[in-house]
Amino acid sequence: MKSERKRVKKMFFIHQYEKEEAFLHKMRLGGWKFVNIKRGIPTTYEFEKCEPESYSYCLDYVTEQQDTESYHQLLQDAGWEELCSYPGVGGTWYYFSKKQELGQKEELFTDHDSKEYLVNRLLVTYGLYCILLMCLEANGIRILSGGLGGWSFLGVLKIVSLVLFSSCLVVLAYVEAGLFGLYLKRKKEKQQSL
Amino acid sequence: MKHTFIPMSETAYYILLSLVEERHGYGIMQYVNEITNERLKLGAGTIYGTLGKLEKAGLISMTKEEEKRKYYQITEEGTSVLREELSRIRELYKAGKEVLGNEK
Repeated sequence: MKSERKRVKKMFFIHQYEKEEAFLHKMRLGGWKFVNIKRGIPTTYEFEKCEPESYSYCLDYVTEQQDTESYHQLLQDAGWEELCSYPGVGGTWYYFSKKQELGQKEELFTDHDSKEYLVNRLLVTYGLYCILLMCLEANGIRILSGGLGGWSFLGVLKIVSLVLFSSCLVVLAYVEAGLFGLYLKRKKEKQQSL
Repeated sequence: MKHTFIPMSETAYYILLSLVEERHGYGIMQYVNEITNERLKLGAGTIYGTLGKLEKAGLISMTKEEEKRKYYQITEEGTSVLREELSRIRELYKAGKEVLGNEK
């Protein structure tokens, strides 16, 4: 018998991965186990009915260079179950969970240096992505400023680029908001590391 | 910018100390937990990142890879950095003891 499933649409910005972890933890406490993710804005989270349990959830953003077999082995050795992954910019988001012993929160990152290192990695890769998107947008403005010009081949091309242009704009706004959040987060992390 | 490692973070200090003997990531985690009487539980992500940084700086080197696990050991440079840090900690301890006396 297939167990009961449900989908929840929810949006988190790039810097809100800890909020996302808390959300998944709370769902598990309420008897819903996170099984899969579908990308989009907002993101779709898929859950499976289960017994209410206390699990820690952790996200890690791993660049291609760091994404080695030994990374996954180490996390597995440490008791983390890899649930799913989500393609990011220049790297991959991985979702892990681990059962909490005596209600104690389990963490992937236990010092300021490594928490800040994650924020810095995100700032660099998503920052570059943001610049690239802005170049595309600037180019789009240049093309579209010539007017649509009716149903010629060029006109259709312009309508297509208009659609691309506006969807790009949504992604850009999403990334920019996340970058701003990351910047604030980094500042906070720096203050705490004193 | 070159990372000087002194003063050293608690994480880096205990990882270097663990690697006086050859160990893999999870082995380090267990060892540190043991010698600090379970006070310090290093996260797997923190260990992975710090190992990368220490290796890049030449303070540790990879000795072998077995069943997807990388083993590391401290280098000569790593040992001398660790000694330097130890004398810094000794100074901290001495100064603290002088000011506060033998309070517990």
